[in-house]
Amino acid sequence: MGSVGNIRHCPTVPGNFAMTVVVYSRKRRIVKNRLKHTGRGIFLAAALVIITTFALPWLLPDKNKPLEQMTFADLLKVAADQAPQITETTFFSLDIPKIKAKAKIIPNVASGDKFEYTQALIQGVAHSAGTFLPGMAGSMTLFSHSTDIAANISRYNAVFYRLDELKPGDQVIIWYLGKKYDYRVTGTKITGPKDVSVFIGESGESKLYLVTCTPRGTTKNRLIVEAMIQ
Amino acid sequence: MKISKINKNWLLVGLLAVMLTVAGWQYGQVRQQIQLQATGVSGCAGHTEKWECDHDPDDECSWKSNGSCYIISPGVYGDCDGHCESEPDEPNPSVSPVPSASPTLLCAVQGRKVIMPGNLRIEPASSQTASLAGNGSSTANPYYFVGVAAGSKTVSVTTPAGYTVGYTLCINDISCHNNTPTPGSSVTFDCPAGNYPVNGYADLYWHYTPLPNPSASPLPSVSPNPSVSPAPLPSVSPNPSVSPAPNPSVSPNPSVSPAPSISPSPQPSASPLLAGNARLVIRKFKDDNQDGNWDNNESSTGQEWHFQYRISSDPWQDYTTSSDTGWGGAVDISKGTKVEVKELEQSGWSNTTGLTLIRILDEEKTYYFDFGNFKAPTVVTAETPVQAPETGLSSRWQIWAALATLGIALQFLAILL
Repeated sequence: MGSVGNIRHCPTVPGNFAMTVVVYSRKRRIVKNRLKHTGRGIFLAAALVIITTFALPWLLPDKNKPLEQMTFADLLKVAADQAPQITETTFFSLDIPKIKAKAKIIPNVASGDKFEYTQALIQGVAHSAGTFLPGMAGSMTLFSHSTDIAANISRYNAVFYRLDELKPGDQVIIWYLGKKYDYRVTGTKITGPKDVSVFIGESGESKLYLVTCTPRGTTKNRLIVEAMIQ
Repeated sequence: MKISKINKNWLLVGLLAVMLTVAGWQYGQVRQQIQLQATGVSGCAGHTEKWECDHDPDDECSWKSNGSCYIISPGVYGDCDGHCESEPDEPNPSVSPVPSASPTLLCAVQGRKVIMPGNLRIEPASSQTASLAGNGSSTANPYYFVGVAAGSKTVSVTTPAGYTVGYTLCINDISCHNNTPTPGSSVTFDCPAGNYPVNGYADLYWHYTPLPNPSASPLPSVSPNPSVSPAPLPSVSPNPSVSPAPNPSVSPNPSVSPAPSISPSPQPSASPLLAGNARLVIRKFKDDNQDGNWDNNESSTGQEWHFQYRISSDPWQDYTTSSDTGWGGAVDISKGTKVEVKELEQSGWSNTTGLTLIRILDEEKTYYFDFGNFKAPTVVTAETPVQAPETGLSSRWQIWAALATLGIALQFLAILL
């Protein structure tokens, strides 16, 4: 410490006591104060932003209307041999019980148009235009947001936040035009962003591809979960 | 010196708190997806209060502005009720023309031109001309005649081909427009003096009801033989869960039938319903939100639909609804008769109300059989994307964590110095 300032004897101290004080140069004192205040300011600001990042999504009311649960009436309609009554839930929606993902599906969203799919993903899960629809002999691709922290699931409508937890055999339910389609996960893979093979409808088997970005909260790679209709 | 430092710190914390509050507010706004910009629009000047928009009972100004409308995007304006329109709201009629010497001798006439059922503010009603005798005319919707002398006034409107018109008139009130319209294209009434827009006005709605497509109107001979029709047996009903209760609430779309007492009378002759008879009308609507109800903002499907109906156990008969209005012709039958109506499906359309409706027409009134449909999605051709959609969203909290660490490091460095 003594090396940073001038060491002087204080002549004003009465008696024979010799007192040593460290006298900083004016310039150094200014630098020290500025560092201290700047550091404190940056810390406080960053801490507040971090706190709000985690806390606000919980504190603010969720404006997204949750998808209604399937009602007994819906099931009756489906079970009975009559024209199903279409509700918001049974029109086109997705339900993955294991990861508690439940959302409506926006049909025919252009996966190459960022503006369009960004708008669609605010409302639900996007069905990639050009791929097939449930009940058809061909593949269907759905994609949705993922994010890095659970607090932001609602903020970003990150329905596929936990998609990486799906394992072969897990159930994926798709409701389409009043009819329930039961899929089972058959596998997962991670590809680069340039791999767009699943965004081209493949005729043949009734497959379902669920796509989101991985690792969570990044756009580095794509996680593709493949499921087959039961 | 110490006090000064403390003050400085508190100032800093205070500033941060303000910033945080602002950031939180902005965050909340983003969450509500309100991407509107408050911009002064001359046409909207004067809309300072919710009720000043147009005195329409069903208007709900979801946002207020002090003399401003909200522009959603160029050329699209937020209506007072939150709808998007291609034109800004009409200026709220100014009260200023009222001479200060005799402010209570003037009145205002205002209203809308709407399509029944549902009081829809659409064409062809919107562009019809409303005329106030001696005070000019207006094709605006809503229309206003402000600052006219109080007293007896006559307002008339034009009527497009294929429609009948009636009116509902409220004086110093705006809540009567769900009542049964009085037939006629002209009305004379006493316009009260007052301090518009608080009072001193007449709210006059013109309700246009489409006439049925003549080709769709079944022949009067469809009236069943009285000996055949009455007393339907419950066992006749193929679907007991739908039909047997003769209660009108059995209607598949109770909220859809827009006031059956409105006398829609879709028959070209508009003949009154004879005693002992009930009338059935089949209607087809485009159920955009798939809720099974004919909502105000939903229209016809724009194409003809074919149905079959059966009175009691009679043979099935064909029936067609109009592509323009979605209405079919009126069929009068004996009261207490069971009627079964089934829709003939069309490719690409999904039904939201069930393909078959069965009801017992047990009252002397018009029964509406409403069938809703929406276009089912189909596989479309689309360009293959260059890369897979970017769906990963980060809160970037790591950046802020790094900044916080930097802040700590700077303070530590200051201590070292």
